[in-house]
Amino acid sequence: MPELPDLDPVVHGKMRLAVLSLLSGVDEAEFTWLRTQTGSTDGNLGAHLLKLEEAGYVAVEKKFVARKPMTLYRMTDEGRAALERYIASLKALLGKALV
Amino acid sequence: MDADGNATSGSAMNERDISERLALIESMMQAGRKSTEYWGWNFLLWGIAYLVAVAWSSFLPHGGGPLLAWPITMIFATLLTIGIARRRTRNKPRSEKSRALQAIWTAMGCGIFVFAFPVAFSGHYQPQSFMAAIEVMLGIAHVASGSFLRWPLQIVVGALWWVAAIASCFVNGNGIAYVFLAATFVRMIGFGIYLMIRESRDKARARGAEVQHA
Repeated sequence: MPELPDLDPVVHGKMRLAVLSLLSGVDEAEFTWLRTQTGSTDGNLGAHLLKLEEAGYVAVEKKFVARKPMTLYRMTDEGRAALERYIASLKALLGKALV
Repeated sequence: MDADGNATSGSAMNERDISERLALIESMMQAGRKSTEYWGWNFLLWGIAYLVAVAWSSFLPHGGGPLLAWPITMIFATLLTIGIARRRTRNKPRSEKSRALQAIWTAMGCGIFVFAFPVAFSGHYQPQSFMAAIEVMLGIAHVASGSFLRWPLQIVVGALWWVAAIASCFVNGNGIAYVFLAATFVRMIGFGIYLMIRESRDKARARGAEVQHA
């Protein structure tokens, strides 16, 4: 029987998976946009983003625009590779292509 | 199990779990890609601006003509575009796609300004050539944008602007205005309204598919 792949626990969390998937389609995104898209609270989203940052999967940039604070998140190459590995593992488990 | 209580061993996940996760990935990737496509309001705004400029130029002979109509309406529309765009894109993510599309339309807009103002003030204004040039530039932007997005509808809209450009070369007097008005009404205003309807439908669909808190 073929060995089933273990899934990256950092990517596997649903909120973190959603965030990585969102970031995969853009150069960078603001914290507020990620919160809107995921329907999460500030605290919950912040905790998950910190975990992704600690794993090296996202990079964060804090700056001021028109004197307003802005926090931008960007997927790293490691994050992109981790997401691709995770998707490949899911597809291997399911045995069908992602449409 | 991970800290969130999710099974991390592949063997512990059932087919439904896996399918749900793949669907989540797909919907979030789509959300990221789609977030930069909603510019229907801009087509509607510029369609109205063109209508006002042409109507002012052609049908208000004592209103200053094209020398006044085009600069005023175009500057006003540009300022409105910048203001509304800044407000709408404040929290939106940037992507290569959004930068490419912005480049196409900004270049077109700058091109129209660079062309239209000198022509209007040089005394060399010739209605057929002027309108045909504007229509060609609009067509180029639509075709380039539609080709980049792989969106046949927008490519067709661009091609129809080129048809209007050809037609403008062969009509006289107010016929030029009528060609441009008809083209603007369908290809800017109609297209803009269609995009705005699509945007509200997409947003309604997205609201119905929000992610559960982890």
